[in-house]
Amino acid sequence: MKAVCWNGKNDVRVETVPDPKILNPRDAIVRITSTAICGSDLHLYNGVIPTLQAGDILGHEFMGEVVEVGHENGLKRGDRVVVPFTISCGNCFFCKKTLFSLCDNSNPNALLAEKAYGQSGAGLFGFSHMYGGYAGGQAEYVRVPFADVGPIKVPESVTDEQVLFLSDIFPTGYMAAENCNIQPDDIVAVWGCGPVGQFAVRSALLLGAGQVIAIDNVKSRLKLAEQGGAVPLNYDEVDVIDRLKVMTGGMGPDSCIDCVGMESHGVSVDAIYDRVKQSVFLATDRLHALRQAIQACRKGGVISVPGVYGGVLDKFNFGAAFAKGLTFRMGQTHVQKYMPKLLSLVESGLIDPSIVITHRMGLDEAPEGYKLFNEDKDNCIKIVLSPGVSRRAEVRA
Amino acid sequence: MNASNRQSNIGTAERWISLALGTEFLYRSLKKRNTSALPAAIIGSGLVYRGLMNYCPLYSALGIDRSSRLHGPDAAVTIIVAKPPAELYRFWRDVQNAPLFMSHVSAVHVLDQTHSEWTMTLPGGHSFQWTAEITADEPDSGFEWRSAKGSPFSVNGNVRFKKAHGCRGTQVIASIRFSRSGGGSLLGKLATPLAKYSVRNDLARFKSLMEAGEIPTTEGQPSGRVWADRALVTSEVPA
Ligand SMILES: [Zn+2]
Ligand SMILES: [Zn+2]
Repeated sequence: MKAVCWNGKNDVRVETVPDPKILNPRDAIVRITSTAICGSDLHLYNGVIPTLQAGDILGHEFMGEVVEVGHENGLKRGDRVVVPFTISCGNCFFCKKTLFSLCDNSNPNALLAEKAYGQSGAGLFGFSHMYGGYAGGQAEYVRVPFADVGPIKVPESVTDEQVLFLSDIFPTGYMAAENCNIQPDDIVAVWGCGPVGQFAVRSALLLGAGQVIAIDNVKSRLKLAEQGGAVPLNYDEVDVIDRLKVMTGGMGPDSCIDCVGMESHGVSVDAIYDRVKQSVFLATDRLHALRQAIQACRKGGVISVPGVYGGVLDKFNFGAAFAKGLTFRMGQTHVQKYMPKLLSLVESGLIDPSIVITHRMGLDEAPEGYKLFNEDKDNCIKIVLSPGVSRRAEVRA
Repeated sequence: MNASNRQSNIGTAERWISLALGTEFLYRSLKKRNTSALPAAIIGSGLVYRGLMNYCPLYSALGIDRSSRLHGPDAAVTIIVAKPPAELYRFWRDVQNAPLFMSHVSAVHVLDQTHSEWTMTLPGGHSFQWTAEITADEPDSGFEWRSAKGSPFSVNGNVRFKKAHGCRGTQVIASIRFSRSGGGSLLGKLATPLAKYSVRNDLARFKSLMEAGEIPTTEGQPSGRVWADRALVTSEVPA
């Protein structure tokens, strides 16, 4: 089959690799119909996530059709499914508490993660070997472990593009908003208007926020957030912390969502400091957005972090967080927990996740897609790849 | 024993080189924060095991004491499994199940009520056999074992199944100890931490098998590595 393989920093290629096989009883094989490139794929692309190996198949946002099942699956051939990026057994202490991304039994390299973090989270598709090194879904086929727990069947009445993002970014934005424990009239500030930020904005409003403020410096992204109901704030044009104070009568937003994670942009002194440190290989996670969020948040407020962090934070104002009595909520998304509810939101027409899509390409074009997504944030918000569409076919069409 | 046949294949110098190289690999890879050192760790443990196995006759000649006076660091590791103690005890005590979750055990042949012959396969394909003897057995709560006379090394251990608090199931505690008689021998110092790592790994596998019904794996999945030898390129970030 064809698959998108990581070969080194800024080097992905579409290669012919063996087809996946059933390896465990609860596995299924899914033929991919749609898959997406995610912001966290760019972390991998840019080589900032350790323990990736050349040849690894990328992709953790995908859906398709079940073509083969192991012995004990509730799925059958022909089922149309969206697959969560978190791999979860459904039986352990954490899965039973619906903390699916913290599953004890899905990471074959749990000991590696234990060494780095104390305990291991769940295995993830198309991510580093510390998260299991599972082959991802930017391919024609994928092996899905614990297929009786993860994939959700979707009806024919919804298109691939409407439900594909149930695999990660919609639940991730939703959980970020849910973690804010939003009360009526709350003001929620969202840093980063990439796809997760877009869903955080919309989810916060769905959950009853009085106002959502969206912060970014990319005009097209701010515009999309505005269309979703947010008040846009361009950090190239205004001082974010000052502006948030003005907008909230000096109190600060009730909760702050950092949808940026470790690839923050910013022109202030601390952002430059971060970049210098990274360029001299004193790799720490860059966290400009998180620093601002801590500074801006109202006393007793919530900082919700769906953006991915991998390592040690530098110049993190823990004193401010303590003095203001902030609550931090974070982690990989418990995708399985949110899928049924969010699918019904899509089916009812309350939200159309396909609004974030700016580019549609064949799987063959993944290398161009990665490059575009990495370099042209003005125009590119979300790329969907279809294995069924070849480059040539699209040119003709 | 099978192991003694193999010992004659490898000379003393090679043994020591294996041990030294393996220890070096393992030490460096375990010491490294960055986890891309896994291949080195695997190679390292393989070499150390090889070194240890060939070292065993010498060790056996020196280490006579297999009684309760064994000393050296105790490699106890523990894990919570969401199943009742009796169920876990029964599965583990049926030693023929061991190859299902112990990664280095390829076969177990039961000899009688308390004795069984274990075939171990180490990284690199080297395999050897030894005989285990159960020395104490308390149904539904645990048992103790040791290597029987004539085994290529002297080791003992135990596994206990204690009800965990609340509804959390069972706390499984496994420990393994290599004899260190011979005055702080290199073997004792190396073998126990290695065994601890291996037992920790096997406990996680046991937990997954009991809770999820299978052990997570990616062995046999596709990757671009099949076609090109590029495994040495990693995304390692200097830390
Ligand atoms: Zn994603
Ligand atoms: Zn689980």
